[in-house]
Amino acid sequence: MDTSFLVNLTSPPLLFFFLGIAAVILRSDLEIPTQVAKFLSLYLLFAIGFKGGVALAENSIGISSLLVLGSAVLIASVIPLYVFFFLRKRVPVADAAAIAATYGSVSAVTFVTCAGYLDAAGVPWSGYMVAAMALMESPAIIIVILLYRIYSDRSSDQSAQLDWRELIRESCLNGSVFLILGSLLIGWITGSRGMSQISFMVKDLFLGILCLFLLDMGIVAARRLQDLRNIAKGSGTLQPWRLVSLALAFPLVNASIAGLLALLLQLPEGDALLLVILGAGASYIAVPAAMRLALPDANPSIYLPMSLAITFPFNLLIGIPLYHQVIRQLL
Amino acid sequence: MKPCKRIEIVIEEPLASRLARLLAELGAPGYTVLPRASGMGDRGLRRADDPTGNSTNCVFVIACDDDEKVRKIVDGVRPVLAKSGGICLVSDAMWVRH
Repeated sequence: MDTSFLVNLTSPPLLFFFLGIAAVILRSDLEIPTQVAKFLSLYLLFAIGFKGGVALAENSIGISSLLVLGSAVLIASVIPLYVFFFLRKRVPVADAAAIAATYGSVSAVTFVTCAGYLDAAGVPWSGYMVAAMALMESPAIIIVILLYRIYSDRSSDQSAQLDWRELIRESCLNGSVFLILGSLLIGWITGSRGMSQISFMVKDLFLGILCLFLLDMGIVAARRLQDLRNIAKGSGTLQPWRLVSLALAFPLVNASIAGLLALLLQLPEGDALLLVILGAGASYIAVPAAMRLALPDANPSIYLPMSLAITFPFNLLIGIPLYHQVIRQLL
Repeated sequence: MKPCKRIEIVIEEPLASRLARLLAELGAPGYTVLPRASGMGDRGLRRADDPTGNSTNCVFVIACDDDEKVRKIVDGVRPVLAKSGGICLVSDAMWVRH
């Protein structure tokens, strides 16, 4: 086994993720209160946003960083298109749209974990990658709703009901996007002076809090994995094994798309890995909330476990070191 | 005490504000929201256990002593639940006026 796989698997955050999974398998009553878990996730978004902002302030924004941001939006637009058309004939249109949005958008926690992995490995990364993540949250949501309105039999009914203002507010200004963009801005304004004032909070506590949050995510992911048996019940469209295969295939294909762009842009190692993990991740925060508002007939029992129980652990355990190895070979 | 209908609507939490607006439009005399409900239905399990709130339901409780208004609320809520999943129960109750 390659050392980066071993280092990743034996890092404290990943071991706590395993501990969460073990708690469910062994039927321990270990539980992190939902409000505490929510606080931990807010802390992680705040810390990574602030760090990214400080890094932005220390380096000027040039053409190359703007190209990366443009590529990030391109990735977030291409992925939902191909996923939607791939699934359109296989599942109901609403489910195809919701899955496409899930894989087109990003997983903030996977990104945060990957940034922690890079920090631990001593590989530098640029602050504008945080901005890239924020930019990639929303395009997929808008695209799939347009696709749904074109291809759904009930498009006229939907168009009458859809409140675009509410939807755009939810997809662009939902709590997680708002906090990370706000923290990025504050980090950029205050720069290294601000960092020296709150570095204990932003830097020293980061890994420990990530461990606790991943412990909770391990518990949630393991429960969703148990729920997979019941997913196809009632929908009659996707058998669990097919769903698992798709949830493993999409991150690999999406990572390849992002990796290709990273190669074309000749990104440094850390930025390339972050762009790849942004492409490979699947949203389970912003997209499900937006889908409940825009496409309530899409079944969340299909797209949520795909991202949370399969793709998220896959990227965490295998994806990050795998993509890192491939990037090292190709760059 | 006065006889009334007790309407209970289980819906996913992200749709709660939309339902609240609809209830106001339908002339509901008021409502109480019980957050963080979990359970199982034909759309699978809602465990109410993840920090995103995406697997969480909530319950609206409405007391209404006007039969015409009850019918209007039920007819207005039905198409929403047909799309999003959820449940609407109507039962007899006694309203303790104070």
